[in-house]
Formats: sequence, structure tokens, C-alpha cells
Amino acid sequence: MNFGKTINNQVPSNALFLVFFRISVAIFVLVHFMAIYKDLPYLFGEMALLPNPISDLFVFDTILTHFRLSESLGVPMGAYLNVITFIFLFFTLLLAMGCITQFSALVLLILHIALLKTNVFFNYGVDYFTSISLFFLCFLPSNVHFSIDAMLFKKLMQRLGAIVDFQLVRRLLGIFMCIVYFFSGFDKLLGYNWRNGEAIWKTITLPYFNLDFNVGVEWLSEHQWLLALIGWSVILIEMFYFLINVKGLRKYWLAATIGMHLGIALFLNLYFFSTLMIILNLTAYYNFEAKTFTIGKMGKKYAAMRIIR
Amino acid sequence: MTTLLINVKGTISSYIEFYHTEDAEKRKRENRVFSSLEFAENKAVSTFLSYTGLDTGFGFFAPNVASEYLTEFTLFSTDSTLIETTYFPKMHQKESVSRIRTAYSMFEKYMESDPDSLEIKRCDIFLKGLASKVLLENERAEFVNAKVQLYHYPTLEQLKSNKTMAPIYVLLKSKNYTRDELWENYK
Repeated sequence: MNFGKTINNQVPSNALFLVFFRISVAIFVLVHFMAIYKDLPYLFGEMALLPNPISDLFVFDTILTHFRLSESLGVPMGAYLNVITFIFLFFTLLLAMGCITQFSALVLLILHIALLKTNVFFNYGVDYFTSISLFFLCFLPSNVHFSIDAMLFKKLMQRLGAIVDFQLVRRLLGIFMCIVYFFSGFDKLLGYNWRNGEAIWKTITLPYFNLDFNVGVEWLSEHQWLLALIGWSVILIEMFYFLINVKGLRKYWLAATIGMHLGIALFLNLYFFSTLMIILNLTAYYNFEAKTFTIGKMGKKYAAMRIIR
Repeated sequence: MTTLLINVKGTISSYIEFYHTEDAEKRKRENRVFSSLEFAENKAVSTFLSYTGLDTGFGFFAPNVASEYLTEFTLFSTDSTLIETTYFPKMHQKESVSRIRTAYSMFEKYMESDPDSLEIKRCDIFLKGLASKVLLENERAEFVNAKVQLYHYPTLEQLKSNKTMAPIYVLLKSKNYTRDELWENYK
């Protein structure tokens, strides 16, 4: 049993999206956590800018939070967060490698929610989609291929791979994405500011956005039609996202949606949110298909991903 | 199905809050669809939704883009000499700034009339936390003046009638904090 041998087994093209989803979400969760690691004491620790006991008042007592757990264990929050960080990183690696995959996803989901609920006021959109992604990974058979589980439990995974309808799984993910974007677009349509360009203007001139690249936008105030056009484009891309299911439109709609998220990254500097949404889009609609090519010295043929249309 | 219902609830809520700010709560209570979806507030349901990540609607930045609130911290020495003005506590990582900035939306409550409400007390505590962090960053500083302002950038409509209109800053709160007032764990 060796990892190379397992890689060499061609992953069915219709299951590649799950391999991609598992690995990319695990890497994303790891990087996103490391992106706040140094400031954990000020966000969720004893030095939290909004003290944990205050935030705790806004969370149902049925929800496990790191604050509550550290209190009940009698462990100082600083030391507790160090241990949690270690466990969190350990399980993200397990998830990425597909080792005890569903359990790893469950542990990460619980730790992630416990962190968010420790201080609910420091959460934003990306956190909900991270929770949703981890929740999906608790159930999805993302370890059937290209995973340590597939090596350790070979027969079980082969049997599972034979009975799972990967296309159905993907279709369900797609339906979820359609619901997400429909409501995102519909809610914007309800706001008159989105229809006349004011919302886009306000977004790009907010003081904390557009700081990294400082893209000059003042000239746009002279061209309200352009701002209205961008606003309507966002509404239409999102509301009619379900048209991505039409084969002939798929690559255009996917490109437009990814373009929109790249725009959000560029102007709003919400890199993590954009990255996760792109991962979810690719998982649901990118056309993964087995393609053979040669990697380095090994000279073996591996499955890879590409757009075929 | 769950996500559909939660989103319908979210859409109704944000629509009413945007177009009927004055009596939003009353209108929400009177809305039959919204009322029938109140089950999502149930403790058991809410807990389930939290663990699936589905406890929110997806109408981000809608129906309107929320206003931003700015903070300004002015540090003074013992003899009241101005040392430095800064706008945000120094954080090690940028993503932390994004998260803390998210919580700034709570400062909206400073525009409400009841100064004794729990929401306003929460804002005061958060502002004190921010001010304390800024104060700790400068050893020479003895006290800090913390301001919260509503930021209004001219709309396209306003720019049509006045091309040179400057952004407007509306002062919502101004308070001094000394080292003696810091929380124990900050000292």
C-alpha cells in the first residue's frame, strides 16, 4: 500500500469535484485560521475588544463555545486557545489528506462554530459559508478517492464509490448554490439603490474598502449609467444563476460569477469570502474531467482537472 | 428547504427594515409569512441552524449597502499634551481588522434615543475595549479620547447638484478613558 499507487488509480471524472472540494476547503480553513492566529487574544481571548462574557449573553445556552468550555474546565482562555489551535490545525491536515475524513470535518465544524459563537460580533459572511462547507463535508463521500481513507479502507471505499451517485450529490450542491445566489440577487433587486447605481457607488467609496489597491473610482460619479449597469449586472448574474444549469451557458455564467467575486476581492478586499465562493462555484459547476498527462520523473499518468468546453 | 425558509424570512425582514424603518418591528409582527417563520428563533431550531451554517439569509449588501462608522482615538499625556491620533487599534493581521470592523455596525445603536438600552451599553463596552487597546499601545499616553462617527460619502444624486461636496462625518459619541479605568486584564 503506497500513496503513489493510490494516486495512480484514476479518479472517476464525476467524483473529482469532491476531491477538489475537500482539499480546497481544508486548505482554505487552515489559511483563514492562520490569518487571525496572532490576534486571537483580542478577538476571542482574555483581551477581547468586546469581552467574551458580554458576547456570551447573545448566544443560546445550547451552543458550545470556547469561552464556555474554558470556563467550565477552569483553564485560562489563553492556554485553552493554544490547545484549540493545535487541534484545529491537526484536523485541517487530516481533512486535506482525507484521513478519517467525515470525523475530521465534524471536529472542525464544532471547533469553528465554538470559535464564532465565542464572539458573534466578529463574524461575517465568509464564516457562514465555511460552516456550510464543513457541514457538507461531514456527510459527503469526499474520501472515496485520493485520500488516506481510500488506502486504509480500500474495499469499503470501493463499495461506497460504486453505490454513490456523484452526479446527484453535485446536483444537490448546485441547487444549494442557486438558492444562495437567487436570494442574494433578489434582495438586491428590492433595494432601489441597487437599480440606480447608488449601491455600487456607496460600496466602492466606503472608507474601509478599496484600501489595498486604492483603485481610482471618483471618475465613475460622472457616469451613473455605468454604475447602474454594474448594479444590474450583479443582480442578474445572481438572480438568474440557475441558468448555469443550461449547458450552453455554463462556462459563461461560471466565468461571470467568478469575475464578480474577483471584483469583490479587488474593490472590497474581501479575499477570503471571494476565495470560498469561487471554491463553491467550481465545486458545483466546474467541468472536471480526467485528463492524462505526465508528472515529473515518475512518468506516470495522473488524473487532472480542466475545462473541456 | 431550511435554507429556503430562512432566506424568505431574511428577505422580508431586510425589506421591512429598509423601507419602513420607523415601525419595522410592528410590521414584521403583522406580516403573516414572517410570523409563520418565527419557529427559526426557537432554541432547538436555532441551535441546529447554527451548526449547519444556515442561520442567516444570503442577502449580503442588500437591499441597501450599510453605512460605515469610523472611530478616532486621540492620545494625551498626563499634562494633556496631544501625543497621537489614530483611527483603529493596531492589529497584527489584516483579517482581524476585517472582523473587528464588522462589529462596528453595532454603533448604529448610538443613533437611537434610549441611552440606557442594553445595545447602547454594549456599544460603550466595545468602544472602551477599542480605546483601551489603543491606550496600551502607547506607554506615554495617560488618557484617550474616543470618538465614533457616522461616515457619509456624497451620493451620486448629491454630487449632481454639488460636484465638490465633501464627505460628512456625524459625531455619535465622544468619551475619554484613563489608564485607571482600564479593565483588570488590560492593566
